Amino acid sequence: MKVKGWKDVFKFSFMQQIKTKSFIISTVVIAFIAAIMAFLADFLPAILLEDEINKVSRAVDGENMLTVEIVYLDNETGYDFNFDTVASENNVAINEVTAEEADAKILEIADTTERAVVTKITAGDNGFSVDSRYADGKSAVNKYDSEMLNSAIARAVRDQVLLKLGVPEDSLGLAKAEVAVSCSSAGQEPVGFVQQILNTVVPMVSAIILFMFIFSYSSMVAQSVAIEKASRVIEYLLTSIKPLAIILGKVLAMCCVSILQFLLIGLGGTFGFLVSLPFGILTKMGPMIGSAAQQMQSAAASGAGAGAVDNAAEIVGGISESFSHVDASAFILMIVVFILGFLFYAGIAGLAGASVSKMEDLSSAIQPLSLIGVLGFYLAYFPQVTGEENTMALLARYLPISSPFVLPSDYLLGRIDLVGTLIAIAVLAVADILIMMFVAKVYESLILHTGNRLKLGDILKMSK
Amino acid sequence: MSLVVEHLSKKFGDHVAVEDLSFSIEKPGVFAFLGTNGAGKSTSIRMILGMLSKDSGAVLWNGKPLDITTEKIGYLAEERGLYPKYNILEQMYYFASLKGMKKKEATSAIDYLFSRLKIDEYRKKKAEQLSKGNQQKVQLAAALLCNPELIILDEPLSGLDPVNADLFKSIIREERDSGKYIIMSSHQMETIEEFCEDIVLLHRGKVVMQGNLNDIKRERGRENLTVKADRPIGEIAERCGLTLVEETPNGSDFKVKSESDAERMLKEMLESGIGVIKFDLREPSLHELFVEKCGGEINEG
Repeated sequence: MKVKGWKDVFKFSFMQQIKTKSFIISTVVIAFIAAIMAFLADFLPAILLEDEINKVSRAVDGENMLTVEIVYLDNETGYDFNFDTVASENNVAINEVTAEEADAKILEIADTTERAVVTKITAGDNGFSVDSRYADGKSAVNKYDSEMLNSAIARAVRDQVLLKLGVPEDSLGLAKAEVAVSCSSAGQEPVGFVQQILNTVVPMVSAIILFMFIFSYSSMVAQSVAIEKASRVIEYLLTSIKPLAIILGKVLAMCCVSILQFLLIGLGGTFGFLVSLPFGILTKMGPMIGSAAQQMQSAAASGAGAGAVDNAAEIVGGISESFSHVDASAFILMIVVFILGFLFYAGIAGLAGASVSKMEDLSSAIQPLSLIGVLGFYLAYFPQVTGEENTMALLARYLPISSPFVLPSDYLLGRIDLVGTLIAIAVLAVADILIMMFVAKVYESLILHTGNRLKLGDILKMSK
Repeated sequence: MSLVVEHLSKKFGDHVAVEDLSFSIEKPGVFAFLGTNGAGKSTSIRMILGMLSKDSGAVLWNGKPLDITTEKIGYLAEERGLYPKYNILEQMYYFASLKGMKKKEATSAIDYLFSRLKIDEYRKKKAEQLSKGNQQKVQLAAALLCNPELIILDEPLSGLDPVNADLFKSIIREERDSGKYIIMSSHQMETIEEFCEDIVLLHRGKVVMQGNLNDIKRERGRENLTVKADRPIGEIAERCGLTLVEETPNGSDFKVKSESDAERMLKEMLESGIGVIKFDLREPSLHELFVEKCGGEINEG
């Protein structure tokens, strides 16, 4: 098979495509959106969770968690509780007051700069309750600090009740321990909540993005072939090079244009992220991740900011566990899969484009491509939604119509090992070779056909 | 150098598009490739150029199978084609690169051809912004870009105004005089007679006439007579066995069975004192030969 001249076709097709208004506008707009989204994804949580972050930060640094300086405590339970430990750990003064004094203080602190909280502990049929009123007017006390203090007081009440009921002090931790529950398939390793979310979201997003890029650029191959045919330029081209060189150069050019657009959009996202970095959540949380994990855990153990620290630790752990297989080879495999997937779909698209003589027939000619593409996409997408490791998920990884959409994320998340990935790539490569051989056989006849659009049956006849 | 086409055949399903086409071009010049619409000319040209696979036969250029990827071939297709949305100059550089030309070489060829064809001002325009005639000029420039040794021109003059038709003719003449091998397909018989020595006439995929045009005409003899006189000549013509074909302002056109009938006609006219304004005994024109070979069946059809 002679493919001399494909580089010239590649160069021309690539340059012309990246100069089109549609490419420039779509790239700029999507890259801008990616930049905004990346900026907001980092910046917004930093704004919305500022108080939480500050608390965790102070916990890690061993500083006082609270902006409260004094607690007016009204203990209406009838039990004698000691809150000295709460006072010392949180660096606050706790003044016990009567119910009337507490009500008066609530009115008083609403209009002062005093960093005070009025807390009432009551007993009911369902247990105890701790209710606080904080001074959010002129003072710096906020709701989160008040809630944090409530949690510390509640823990102290629970500990002292348990001690009164005869639980030894060294068994308090055991008595309060929560019993975690989970339910997972016998054939799978149990995974954490964050990891579970990532395992569902990453493949779905990845499948959608890959489908959009592969399918839209394959359609452009069909369009480009149809334009050359409808405008009769093809007659001139065929006096210089063979049809296979034309389709090969065109398909590879579109593949590179799609990768270029993907990278430019990624660059936009990176730019947005870099701009957000000085103010973003990652910078604020950064010191708490990794080497500070131990400090976070000890802070959590002491009760300071326990919830926030636990969540942060779980997210960090989930992400690192989910992407434990990611290395340079993973990115190379992803690019290889993308190119092979693109060749598969673009080969079919080239045939569709060559089967028409008029541009108005193109949309009906690419219907089979749309059908195969949508089928492949849903085959790849549904197992990700259900999250089950079943026959459909297995088929999706090895069938050429779906493997380009599912392999990259499955490999990144460790759902398929290297050997399985290489086998799936080999299957896809063989499918590409078969498609290209078929294209080479019928493209010559197709490309010079004029008149009515050829149907699939006509194209198959040509291959015989 | 020579182009030899041997026993070329092509079928599309049950339809025979070309059957056993053979001809050769042994010396530089313009070779006419003629035929009715749908006779198989374009299919033959595509097979010669290797665009379309042939069922049988061979195309040899300098004794070797013609390979479009290595030989310099210029082709002006009947159905003109340029990328409608792309810049003309970029398209020309692309076409040049496909012919293996370096940028400097391409620039020099484009400069010359665009200047020669008077289309310099359209370099930066898109093809869709050009008139049909100017697009045709760009196409001719693309066909001649690589200074090809073999040039195939399929209906080069169709749709051109007289000024541009003369410009195209002068360029074809230049190429012929510089030793190029040119195959020209046209329905303008005067143009073919103006340029071509050898012809092939296809009808329904088969060769119905082939050879040197002068030889073909000579073989047929001088059988067309046009007479213009100052008095009616109908009786004398009938007596001499001439068949009237048509009366025109230029005179009466007759078919003669032999040159001696025409000579007798002239003798009798002079003896009768008829003033002879025009007496033209000539060979059949290509147009007449074409219609004779292909017209009957078409009319019947």
